[in-house]
Amino acid sequence: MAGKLLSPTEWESVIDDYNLGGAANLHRWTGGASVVDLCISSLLRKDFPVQLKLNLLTFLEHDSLDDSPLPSSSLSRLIDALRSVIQSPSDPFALKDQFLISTTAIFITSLLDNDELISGSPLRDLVELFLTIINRPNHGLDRHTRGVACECLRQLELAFPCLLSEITPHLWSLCQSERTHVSQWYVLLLSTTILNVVKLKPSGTSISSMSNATIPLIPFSVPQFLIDGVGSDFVWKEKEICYKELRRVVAFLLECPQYLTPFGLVEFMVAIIPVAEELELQASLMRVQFSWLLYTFEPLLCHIFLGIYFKFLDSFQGQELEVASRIMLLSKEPQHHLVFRLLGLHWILGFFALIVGEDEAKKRSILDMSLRFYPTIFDPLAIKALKLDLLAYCSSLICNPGDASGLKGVEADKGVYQVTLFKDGLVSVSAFKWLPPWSTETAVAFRAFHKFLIGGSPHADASSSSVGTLIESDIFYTLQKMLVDSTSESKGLVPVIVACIDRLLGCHKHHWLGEHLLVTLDKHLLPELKKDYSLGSYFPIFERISENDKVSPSGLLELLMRFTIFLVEKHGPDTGLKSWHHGSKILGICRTMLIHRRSSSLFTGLSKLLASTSLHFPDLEVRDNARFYLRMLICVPGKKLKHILNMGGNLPGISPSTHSGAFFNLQFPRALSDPKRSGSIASYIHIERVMPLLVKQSWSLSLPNFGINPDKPGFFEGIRDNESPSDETDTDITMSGNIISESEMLHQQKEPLRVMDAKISEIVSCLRRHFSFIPDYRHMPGIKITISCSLRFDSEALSGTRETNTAANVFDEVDKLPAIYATVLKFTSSAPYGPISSFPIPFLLGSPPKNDKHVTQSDSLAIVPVENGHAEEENFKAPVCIELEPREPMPGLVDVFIESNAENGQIIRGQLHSISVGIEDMFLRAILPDDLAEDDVPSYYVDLFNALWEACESSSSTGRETFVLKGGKGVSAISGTRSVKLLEVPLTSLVQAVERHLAPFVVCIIGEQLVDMVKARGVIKDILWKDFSSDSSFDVTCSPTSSKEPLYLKYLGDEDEGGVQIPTSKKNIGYFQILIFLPPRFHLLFQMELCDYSTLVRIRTDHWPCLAYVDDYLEALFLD
Amino acid sequence: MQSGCCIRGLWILNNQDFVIFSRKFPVVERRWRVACEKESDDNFKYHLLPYDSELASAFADRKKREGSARGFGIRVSQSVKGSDSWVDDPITRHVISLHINKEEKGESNLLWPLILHIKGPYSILVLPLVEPHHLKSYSRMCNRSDCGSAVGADENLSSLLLDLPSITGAFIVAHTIGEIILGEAVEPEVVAASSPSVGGLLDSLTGSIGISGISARPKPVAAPVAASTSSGTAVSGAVMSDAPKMGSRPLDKDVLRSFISSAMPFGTPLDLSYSNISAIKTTGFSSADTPPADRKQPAWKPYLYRGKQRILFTIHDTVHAAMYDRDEIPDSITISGQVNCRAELEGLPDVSFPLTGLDTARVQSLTFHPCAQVPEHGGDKQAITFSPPLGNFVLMHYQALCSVGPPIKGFYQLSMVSENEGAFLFKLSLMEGYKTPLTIEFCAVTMPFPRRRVVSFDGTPSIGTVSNTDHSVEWKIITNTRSASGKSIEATFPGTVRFAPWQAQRMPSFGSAIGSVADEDSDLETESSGSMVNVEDQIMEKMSKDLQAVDLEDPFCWQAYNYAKVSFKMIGPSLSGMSIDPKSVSIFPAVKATVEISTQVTSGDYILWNTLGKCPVAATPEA
Repeated sequence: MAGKLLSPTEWESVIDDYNLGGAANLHRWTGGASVVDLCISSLLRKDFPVQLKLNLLTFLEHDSLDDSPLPSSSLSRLIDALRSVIQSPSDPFALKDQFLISTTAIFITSLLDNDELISGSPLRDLVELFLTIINRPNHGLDRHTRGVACECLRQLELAFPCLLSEITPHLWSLCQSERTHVSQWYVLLLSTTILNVVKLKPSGTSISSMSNATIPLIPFSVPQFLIDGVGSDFVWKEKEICYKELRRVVAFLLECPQYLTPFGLVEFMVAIIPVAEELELQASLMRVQFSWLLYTFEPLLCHIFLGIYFKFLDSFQGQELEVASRIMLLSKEPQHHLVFRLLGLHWILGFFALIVGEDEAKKRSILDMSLRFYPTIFDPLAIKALKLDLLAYCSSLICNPGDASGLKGVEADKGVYQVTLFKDGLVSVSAFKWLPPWSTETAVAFRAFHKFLIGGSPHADASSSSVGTLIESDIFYTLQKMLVDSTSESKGLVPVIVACIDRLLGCHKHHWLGEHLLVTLDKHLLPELKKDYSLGSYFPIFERISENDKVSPSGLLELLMRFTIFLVEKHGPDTGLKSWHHGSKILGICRTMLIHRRSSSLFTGLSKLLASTSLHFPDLEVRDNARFYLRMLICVPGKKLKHILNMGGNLPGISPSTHSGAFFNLQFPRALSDPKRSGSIASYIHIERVMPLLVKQSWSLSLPNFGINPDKPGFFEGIRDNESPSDETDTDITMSGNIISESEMLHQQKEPLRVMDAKISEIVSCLRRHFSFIPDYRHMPGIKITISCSLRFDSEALSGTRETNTAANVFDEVDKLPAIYATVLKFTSSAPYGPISSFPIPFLLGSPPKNDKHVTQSDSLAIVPVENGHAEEENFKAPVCIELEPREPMPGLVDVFIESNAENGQIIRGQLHSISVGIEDMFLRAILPDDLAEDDVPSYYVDLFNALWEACESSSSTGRETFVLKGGKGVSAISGTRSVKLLEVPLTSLVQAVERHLAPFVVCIIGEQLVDMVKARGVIKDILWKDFSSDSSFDVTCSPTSSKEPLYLKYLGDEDEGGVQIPTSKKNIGYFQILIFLPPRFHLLFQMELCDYSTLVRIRTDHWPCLAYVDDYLEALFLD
Repeated sequence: MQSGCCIRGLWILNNQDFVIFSRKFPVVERRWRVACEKESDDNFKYHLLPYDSELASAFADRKKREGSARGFGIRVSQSVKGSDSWVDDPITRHVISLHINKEEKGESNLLWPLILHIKGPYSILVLPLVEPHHLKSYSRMCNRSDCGSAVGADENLSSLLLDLPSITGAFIVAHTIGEIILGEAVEPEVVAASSPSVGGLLDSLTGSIGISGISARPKPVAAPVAASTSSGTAVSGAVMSDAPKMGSRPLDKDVLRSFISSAMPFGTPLDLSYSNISAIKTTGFSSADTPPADRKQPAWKPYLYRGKQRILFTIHDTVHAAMYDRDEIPDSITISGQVNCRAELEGLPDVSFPLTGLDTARVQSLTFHPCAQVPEHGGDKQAITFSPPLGNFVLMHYQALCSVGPPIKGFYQLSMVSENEGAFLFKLSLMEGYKTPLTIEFCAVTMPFPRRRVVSFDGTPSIGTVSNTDHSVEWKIITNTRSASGKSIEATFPGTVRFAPWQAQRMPSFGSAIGSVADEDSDLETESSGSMVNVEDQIMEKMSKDLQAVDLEDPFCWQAYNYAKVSFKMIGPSLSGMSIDPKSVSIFPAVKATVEISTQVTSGDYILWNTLGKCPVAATPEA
């Protein structure tokens, strides 16, 4: 025996530890020694208190549950210890009894896990010990111990059936002789033994006679049958003597119940009923013997009786009502604890379910009882609830369509009877109408309501045929009316009704009932409601109506409209909070509708409601939200809209009160944290120009150089006035040019004073008129250019691993595509483009993945994607307009930043590919004066062209002239530059190129041949057409520049230092005069002399830096 | 009935949800394990019984989930699938399930049916043995996804409960244990002429303890019983609340352990009679305790009486009434009662007497002690024969309608003249039409105002005295027998009662079945107050707003009504008509024994509803 002996206090701790957490806690106490051995040695110590020993025994029992089975040696030691305790005169009976019990329990658990031990000596020794104890009937002092020993033997017999079969005759004789109160234990032992013998029919002749014991009681040996485990087909009847004897034993046993305790009787019945069946005892005998059980007030005995009743159902035929009313008494007797009264009602319900079947007569007798099921006033609510169940059961018996009419008391109309049952039953909890909705009465009432409602169509009933009859039944009508009435009377019931409807809606079988109730409420309750502040309580119902497709939204929308009107009318200084509260609730309903219904069904009503709310509602937030919803209703396609509104986990119906803040209560979205993703936004979100640039601009002249250069008069100086344009510094810090121009503000150009001739003054006045319409961007919105782009993104990137199924139909696919919401594009540029406003895109679908690779897989669809693909392509692009307000006409790059929300609430933030801006983006038509008649436009342009042409001559006399810009604050001067460019392209391609890219800017075409040609093509219209003769300044044979200006040729020669020969030999076909306005206030003039195979472009501009780009542009335009 | 009643284990938790006592029965557990292993499948397998700590935490979890230790009982909006209240049956407040989470394995194991009995500060859990298919069936029920079972049609709790006597038995075990740990295991009261009441079984044996030899055992002494305070509990018929009572003595584990080892040594209860068991434990048997020679001694009568022979009967009527004084609602008066008996007879005699006097038209039910043999539905001349156990016992229970008019009738009116002041008027007539020897011993009327504090009252009754406590006004009409013997009495009491200003009570955060559905609009709708018809409705409205939900064990929300409760005690013949003629009591084998019979009539729930207010009703079927 390893390990030290534990002291009593240590044992206490061991046991406490064990109970709390199991055997795992024991090791530190035992140090690995066997718990049993430790216990046994402690049990045998005389100095240990008896109570502790009792504890130890219980502990050993508990421990045997989860410990491995004890070895044979431990069991033997245990028996030795037991023997010594039993034989000790000093040990009290309590300890002896407990030792017997615990040893038996440990044996049973150990031996059952270890079959080999059954035949071993420990079990035999134990049984022998017990037999020794019980073999002293009527012995006085230890009579209780004898009872305990009987029980131990009985448990062994139960655990090892037929263990005692061979000594049954002895047991019987013991049982007959025992007269003290422990005879119960002998009787039970005998009946259990008999049961096993009868059930298992062990072979062998040793038990062929009950009266003559052929085997001595002691020494005991474990029967061979148990060891071999073989049963035989022994039939009792065949052995007449045996059978008779057995009947005698049973007859003896059947006299015993009066002497048994109720629990003893339970065990007795368990054993005796199968025996009675085997012996084919007359059932009526059983009835006579046991019907008294039903008349006792012991619930357990009543329950046992029911057990017999169901076993011998036939012999109790016709007594159903009697039995049922006796059980009913159990529930009515107030002296019983509530539980037994509840059990009684449950038994009745179970009893009915078992007996009723298809038997009409039984149904009738149950219905006859129905009056007894009414709850009484002092019945606890639990009882009331179950009694209402009984009434609901009766109701379902009536409404069963197979039922014949003619029931007693139901003659008139079974529907009416049903209704009476319901109404009268419900009286007992009718306080639910005015008690608070959380009252238990309410809960019970609505439980009954539910039971009555579904009574006619239980879940187990697979057929749906009862639906129609149920809807038309009186009971259903009454239930609905009760619902509507009590709801309109007391708004407190709303949450309860909603819970009830939710419960039905959530049920696969009774979904339709819930919907039907909603329709009823919509039809009957809504018109009843007063349109005042009390309406606010009904919103949970509205919420349900609004999310259910089966109910038309029109009634609700109308009600809400009227409520809105009421709110608007009632609005005053004191009702601000109320208006907000109710307004938000209304919007909540609108939101729910948007989530749950097809937009088309709502559109008219809802848009009206939202529109008037957004216009008239007194509360700002409500108005704003209404506008949001309206916008969304109009702009966002249905399914996506539902998705947007569902964001943030606001499941419909769960939090109806959070709607007003739906936009703001969203859990703060996590920024897209995946670095792989955020870094490559540009790889899946694409922004592209609609019209690609002709010149892939790879460079641009940097403005700073240009502005700093003191030799060149700054272009900004020309339009400077004395006031400092402070607003610009605030709005756009990227405009470095502007900052520089500020630094040069000190230089103020003096207004020159000169004399000019008539022609010059004509030119000057033309220019003055022109410039006076050019806005001074420092004081007013400048001239803007627009660059059209489109935004799209690849759906794969956002849908992650989601598989897109190409085989699915296209619409489904669209629904599956991810979308981004509330996208805002922000632009910055280092080029002087002024402030660039950001561009919002409310909603964008991802472009579907390229189907090309799937086409081969699904041949049948090979064509479809191609055709649909293109059309759809546009759906997945959002048009983007970048509006620039250039401070200087120059190409540049616009950086694009995106900020958007993905469907899962993530924020997508990052930079996209930059958009390049070309010089051609700056090309604008010159601004027309407001007062100009339409017919005069062509001539105005020609005049302007000519004036500018003159003014841009470097030596022009207008060079020192200044022109006042629009607004009168700024002034501008013209400082012209000239250039030429020879394009060696055929005439037709040149004309085509001009038509394609420069058509809006052509102001005049000169030369009959060219005029005819261009007119015939019909692209360029509304310009001045001239032949050479009409303008003296042109000559067919002569160079296009004015002959009066010889300097021109010379200059030309200087200019074209490359020695480009002017192809004078070629026939001049005509001229294009092209006037391009370059914002903010510059001009680019082309005069193209067209010959068959080459064209000379004379260029003049008042903004010389642009010549650099123009050169590239022209080459790209005509030569590529 | 495949198996009887076996217990796998039982636990007792204190009000801190700590297991203070546990007992497992390996033999029964072994049977469960075998059955489980036979039927185990993917979803179902055997789990070890939980350790105390696991069970305690599962119990606490359930408490949290279900709002209270008992739970909602009915499916409410807070109910979750898989929980007891999902089953939607009030009995799930008593037959509960626990989900035991094994920490190491992360699996949850359903423990059902656990019988929950709350007694004093203790929660007693008893786990009876069922068959695996029962457990599976329950598991399906509490996990069903539909709206709840239809009565009698779907898989339901009723058929399970009917199939399981072990649940019924486990309840009895739980209640017995509850009585033992609170020291409330008392025998019914039997009144003898010589003294107010006589003792129980232990008194019969008193004196023999420690003194060997039956000859030394004196005759039972009709000693006054100290525990007579609890005598009413078995009789009164009042709501037997198991609301926790505080301040009880610490649990005597040794007593409990020894009771369990005698009553159900292997988990199979065989005898739950605490008085017998403790008598055997303390007294034991002497060699002189010889069994009767001719017949078997019943298991419920381990000792035989020796001494002067007599037999005592006490007939006890309890009157329940709901008095409305309204034309449209009939008053309801019912009597429940019992006959207690104490037979001090030697040997094992049979006693019988005819059940005369009971008008079968008025008697609705009769149930008997198991020791009684009742002729199978006999005619009018029923006779009862019984072999009495030792000590006091309830021989029979009955329910009857009142044979005469109500002992106290009249009306109670309370009208709130202002928010804090009510005018009331009683007009009662006592014992109208009653004749001697029926006399009224005492009679008092209480007006409870559980939700208002009584500041003062004003008014003088025509008879008796009035006093008040914080929450009630009590009018003692009759305090001694002589003042009112055998004549009818008219009593009126007009007066006013003043209350402290009404203060809205805070809603408890839990405990109400649907409590979380607070009326969020309540503060927004005070504007309607002007349209109220009168002060009274206004106060009603105000007060009913924060009424708390009652337990399912209550008949209705008492606090929602104004009423007066009458309590009285009468001496004389019973109102039910139950009577025993001493001369007709026969004992076999015949012995000379005195027969004493006493009768008392007390009030149960005897309620006068405020005629001017709301009152609960129940439909009375026209039988």
